[in-house]
Amino acid sequence: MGLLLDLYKLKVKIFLGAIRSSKVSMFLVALYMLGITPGSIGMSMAVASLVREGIDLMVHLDSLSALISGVVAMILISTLRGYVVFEYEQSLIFTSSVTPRGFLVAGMLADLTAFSVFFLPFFLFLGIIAVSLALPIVSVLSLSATLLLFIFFLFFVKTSLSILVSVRSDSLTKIATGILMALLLFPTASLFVSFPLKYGILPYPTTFLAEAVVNALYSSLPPVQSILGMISYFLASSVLFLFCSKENLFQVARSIPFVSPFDTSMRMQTVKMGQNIRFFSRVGLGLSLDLRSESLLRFLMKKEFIRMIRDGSLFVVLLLYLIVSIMSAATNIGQAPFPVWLFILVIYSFIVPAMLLGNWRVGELDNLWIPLTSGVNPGFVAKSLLYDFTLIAFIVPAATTVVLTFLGQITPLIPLVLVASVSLIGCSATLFTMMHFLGKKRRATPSFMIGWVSMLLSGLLISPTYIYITFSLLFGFSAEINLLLAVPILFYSALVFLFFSKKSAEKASSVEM
Amino acid sequence: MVPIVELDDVWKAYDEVQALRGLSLNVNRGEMFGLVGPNGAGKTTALKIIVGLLRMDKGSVRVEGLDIRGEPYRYKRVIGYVPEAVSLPEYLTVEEFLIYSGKLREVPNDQLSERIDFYLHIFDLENKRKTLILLLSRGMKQKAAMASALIHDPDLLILDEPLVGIDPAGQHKIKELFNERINDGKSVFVSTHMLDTAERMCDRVAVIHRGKTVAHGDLESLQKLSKTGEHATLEEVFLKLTEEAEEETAETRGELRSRRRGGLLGFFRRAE
Repeated sequence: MGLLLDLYKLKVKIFLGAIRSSKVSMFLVALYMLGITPGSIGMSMAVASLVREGIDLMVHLDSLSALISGVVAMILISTLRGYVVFEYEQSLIFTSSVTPRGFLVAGMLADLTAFSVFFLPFFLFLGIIAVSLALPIVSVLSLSATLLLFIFFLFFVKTSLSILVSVRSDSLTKIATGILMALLLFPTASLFVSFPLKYGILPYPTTFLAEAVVNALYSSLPPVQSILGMISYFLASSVLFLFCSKENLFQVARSIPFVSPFDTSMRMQTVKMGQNIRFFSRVGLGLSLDLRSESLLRFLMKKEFIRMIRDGSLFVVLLLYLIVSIMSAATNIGQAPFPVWLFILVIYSFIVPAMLLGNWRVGELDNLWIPLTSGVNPGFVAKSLLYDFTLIAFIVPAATTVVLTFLGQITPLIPLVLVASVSLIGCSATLFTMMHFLGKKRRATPSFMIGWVSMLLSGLLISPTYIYITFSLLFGFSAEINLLLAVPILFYSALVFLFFSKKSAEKASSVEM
Repeated sequence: MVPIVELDDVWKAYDEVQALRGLSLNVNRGEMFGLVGPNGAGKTTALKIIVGLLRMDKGSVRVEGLDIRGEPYRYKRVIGYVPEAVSLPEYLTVEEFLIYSGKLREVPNDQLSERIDFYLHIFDLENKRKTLILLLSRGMKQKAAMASALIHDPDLLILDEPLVGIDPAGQHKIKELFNERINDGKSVFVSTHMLDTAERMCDRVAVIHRGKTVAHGDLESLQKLSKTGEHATLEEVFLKLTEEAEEETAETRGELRSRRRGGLLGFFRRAE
């Protein structure tokens, strides 16, 4: 027991110590807390007021279940790579007398501790709802118990499947996990089309949790079958965990470099990027660089596109807009629609160029010596990057807009103008900022700082587009007037794009390594 | 005959540190030239200036007679370069990386395909053709970088510590490859700490210390210059020359210090 406790303390210290070791990391943690806390407070007050007004949240049970199922599916994806441990664990702990089960239990408790620290705003969210709705203690306790059972269930399943993938090293467990994910997600179809199997009627653990949440909000207890169902899942997962933790996972675990959240150092970013490539290249090797004749510009664009697939950048962009589409479809934003969709577009259109270029900086900065010593004008390389990023930043949200238009939820003109303008201005301004920070003295600047500067610059330059859209919404311009006003806005965006494209090319030509 | 590389009075400073102080040297066609010097002597800086990764503060560099300031890109077509700390696009496979390098250097597709096969064979990377660079060992990455530097059959190879991290068999193959290139009239310019290798392979070497050339020439001329005797190894010559250069620097510093003191004393005397 003493050894287990020591192990637990060591893991917590290493995890939190890595954050404490850098001022930038601590600043980011503070920023995370400060950023997410007002959101949690606002969200909890909004939910509480909706419940007080008598809105029937039961109709959203399927959406909530789908959301939880999505999170669970994401967690299950991570089991496909097998059981992984940090390098320090392999060299320090696996060579000691700790048993695999002891290691797993200590790890679980340490993860729960870290989880509690980073999810403090979530607990605040629950607390405010409980107080403002004056929920009876029994409801709060039942919700807490269900939540705890669900977390343990998830941990047991995740750990057991990872161990099984590593131990069996055949594809059977992976296929079974894939089927599990498909089963978990396919009722999502009921949110979009008429589909008989809804989460509400299926005995899924995610449904039981969603029922517990919604019932607790109405000061009632979840149905008995939900409680029993959740307990059954917990017990079944515990048995699976007990069975799998008997395996000597020390021999089959794969080690990865230690990564800590909020660590912005280039070394850590590179390690994380390596992990992403390892994971995403499995799906991204379908498209490859070949000898087919094409212009150098197109070749370089293709190479960057491949990088974005294989380091997961494109996946994140697609995921962002997939979530937006699901949320939009599920909540029928078409009825109170337009500003909400535009607001989402504005936020994401801002984030996407900064994220794409941030990933490029982490993954490609040290490889710049290759084009720089090749005889190709570096400005040409910068242009190929810019065209790639702009295309992706435009095509993904534009495609989402088109899909939502077909689903009859929005009118496409204003969102498309916004997307075109933001991708042209956002990508070019961000690339220029990034190139500016490639100067030798500024190279140590953390990516997130550069991201902020670029978003500030983009925001200022995009303001004419926002003003146009605000007026259009306020005065309800007709389609003809909108079209007429869109032309100068797009012309202005193209000018900004050309200006920064030229400036970025100039900056690229003076990069020193 | 015009040398393939000419450095004349090249100066470069990083903030407070003066990395190069008037470095001058020539690399001839059809020779293997070695740049040796202690840590911090300015070897990597010199190579980076030649390949265009750094800008010099003063002086001139010519490659194939072209001033690199006037022709900042075109001259690089004749150069193949491998840095000391090799960083490669880890998301590409070995084959894709070589295609990328070849395309950047405008190698025609049919030649590129042949050369990729050839160098993958030479560097024992045939079975790693479709492997992500991320999954290669350090030595294999170094070999892949070497293959990419050769993919356009450059007239001049510039290599910073080329043999570090490569297994003995790989080192042997690389040395053979260098010899073949020299026989074909091409040039190899290496910076290295491996003085025995430099002695055996290089036609001429330049010993640099604190950013300037202490001596350059073939082993015989360096032996004479350093007065170490005709049986002295390059290592012995190197140690002697750098020691002398260090002493000279120390003397100069001491002189400067005493001059400054003298200046102060003079000031007080005048005040009296």
